Amino acid sequence: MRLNVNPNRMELLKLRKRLALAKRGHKLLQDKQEQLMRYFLRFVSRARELRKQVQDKVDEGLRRFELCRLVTPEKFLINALSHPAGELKLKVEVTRLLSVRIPRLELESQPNPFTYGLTHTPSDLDLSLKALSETVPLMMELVNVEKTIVILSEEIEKTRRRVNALKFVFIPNMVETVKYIKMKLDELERSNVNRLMRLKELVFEA
Amino acid sequence: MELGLVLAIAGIISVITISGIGSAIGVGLAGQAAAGVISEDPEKFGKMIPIIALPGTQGFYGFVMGFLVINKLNLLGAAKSIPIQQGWQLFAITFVVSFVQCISAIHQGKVSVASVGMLAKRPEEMGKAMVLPVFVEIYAILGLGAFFLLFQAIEV
Amino acid sequence: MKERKESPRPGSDTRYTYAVGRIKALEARLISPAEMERLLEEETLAGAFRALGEFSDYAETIAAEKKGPEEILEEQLARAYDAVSEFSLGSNAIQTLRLKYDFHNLKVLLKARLLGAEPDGFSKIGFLSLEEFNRLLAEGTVGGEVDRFAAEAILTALSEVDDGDSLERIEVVLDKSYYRLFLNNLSVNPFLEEYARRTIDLINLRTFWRVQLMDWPEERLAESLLHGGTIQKAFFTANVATPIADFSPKLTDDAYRRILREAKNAYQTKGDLSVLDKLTDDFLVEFLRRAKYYCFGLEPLVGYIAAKENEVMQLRVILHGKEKALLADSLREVLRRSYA
Repeated sequence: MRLNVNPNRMELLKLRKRLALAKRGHKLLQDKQEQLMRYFLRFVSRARELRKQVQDKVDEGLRRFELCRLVTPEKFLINALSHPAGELKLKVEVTRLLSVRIPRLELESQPNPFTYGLTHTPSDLDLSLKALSETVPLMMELVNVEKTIVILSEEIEKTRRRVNALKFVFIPNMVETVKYIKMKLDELERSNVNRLMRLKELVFEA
Repeated sequence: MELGLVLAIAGIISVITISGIGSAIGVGLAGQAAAGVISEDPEKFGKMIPIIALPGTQGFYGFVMGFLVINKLNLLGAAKSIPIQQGWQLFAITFVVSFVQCISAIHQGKVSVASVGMLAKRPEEMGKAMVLPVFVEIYAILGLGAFFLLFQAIEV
Repeated sequence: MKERKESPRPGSDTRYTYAVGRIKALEARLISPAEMERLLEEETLAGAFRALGEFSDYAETIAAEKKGPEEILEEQLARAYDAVSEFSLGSNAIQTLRLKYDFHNLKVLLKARLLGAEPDGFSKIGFLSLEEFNRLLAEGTVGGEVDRFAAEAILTALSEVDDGDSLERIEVVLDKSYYRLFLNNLSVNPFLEEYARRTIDLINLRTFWRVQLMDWPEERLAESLLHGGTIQKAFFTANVATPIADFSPKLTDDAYRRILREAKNAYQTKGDLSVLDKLTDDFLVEFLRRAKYYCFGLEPLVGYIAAKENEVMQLRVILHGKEKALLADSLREVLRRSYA
């Protein structure tokens, strides 16, 4: 669609400049999109890997825990597990990836669950809690990776919209307008010539 | 009273009391155990009775032996006077046999406790539970038998 | 109650004859292995409950109201302890067994106090109720209606805990305090003393392996080991770096060697320690099973309590297993050997 501009030489010059800019921008955005896509795929495969690791660890921890549940009075287990030492501390920081802001959770400290005595607790409890507490850093990593994926996908979407807008709307429009202004100018030129010729004829006749 | 008679009477008393003490201990043990079982399961009372009673037989034998001697000496009527030798003889057989009775009664009591435990778990094994204390009873009966033979041999 | 002198010969104390009679009758009501197997074969939790309700001991508890498996089992144990203490003539050995739950409760309360939280996991099996316990902790003296024996034991244990102790330290101190009492009060005759010592041995063996497996610092081992086992504490601490495979041949007791060997094989194939726990429990049940043949003395009483604990443990495996719809075979693997 033609832009609503006055068809004059100044606009033409301005438009040409903008067109050149748009084309360069389009190329840059396309590069960015490709780069984002590459990151996106890398994170997706990392997330899949992490998710499997977390799942395996949780499965192992819960399987062992189930064994403990079977053979220990519930109240003994409650007593053993209800008071871990220390607390879970997280730090949030923002990192940049291709000028996209991505929040990142950093595990600062993790509670120590092994505060129970060893006499009335089943032996498998240690291994169960070990597996489960090992999942915490993995889960943090998984959270980070999955958040990154979400943000990246939004960014990719946005970039693609921009690229498409440039490619299919802005640039064709400008090209059309440039063409139109040129045509207009040419026509003006031609009518000018015509008028001059006509004037000359009249002058000669007179 | 002469010494012979004194010895015989001492024998009578010893056989009745010592056998009685043994039986009392034996029945006491069996009775306690049976009371424990019955308080959980009153229906077993009937089955427990013969087992509790078994260690009591020794005391009864002791009484019989004592009574035989009493009879022989006619203590209830005009007491016979007997020489010292016979007095010692009667004392010896009654006194020694009383130990068989006493000790067998205590051990029979213990076996009865075991039988009571067995009956508590397996009420259907009544026969077997009875047989075990009866084995101990045999020795009490042998003691009684030996007493009887020797008793016959003593002429008063 | 007057101090009672216990007979030093195992299976000879005739004061407990009545008690043994009752125990024999109670033992007849324990769930037999065959019946346990039937419970195990039930498809659902409801089915297992129904089958369990057919046993006279459980019928009342189950019929009374809708309760979870844990509550039913707890009530059963409390009743067994009640029944035995009714005719155990105030024997310290028998009371000590129940005291395990008071020590558990003490841990719960101390930890809650340390963290300013509500106590969680207070057991109803112990001698003292929650209010009695709180009053005892607040006043610090034995008074009122509470059980003297338990209250004194608790106050002694309490005096060993320092104010600044960590959670872990509280657990360790109380466990040690309990097992000292356990050994002390069970040492009325050689049989029960050996039982106590072997219980301590097996706990120490498990502790040793667990510390090793988890790479915990050596101090935790030295701290957690209990006194009084047949295996000296120094033997464990000296071998802290010895792998289990090399450690077990050093033990002089054949039974312990066998337990460790079997548990190690199971750990290598399946990767968990449940077999170790099972074998140690089985060993103790097997040991106490001899008490069944004693007709006099405390031994059958201790045996019955262990049998009831064992039965409740088996039922816990079955009921929890059914709740989680676990396969009967996998339950069989952790099921303890039966005393009955």
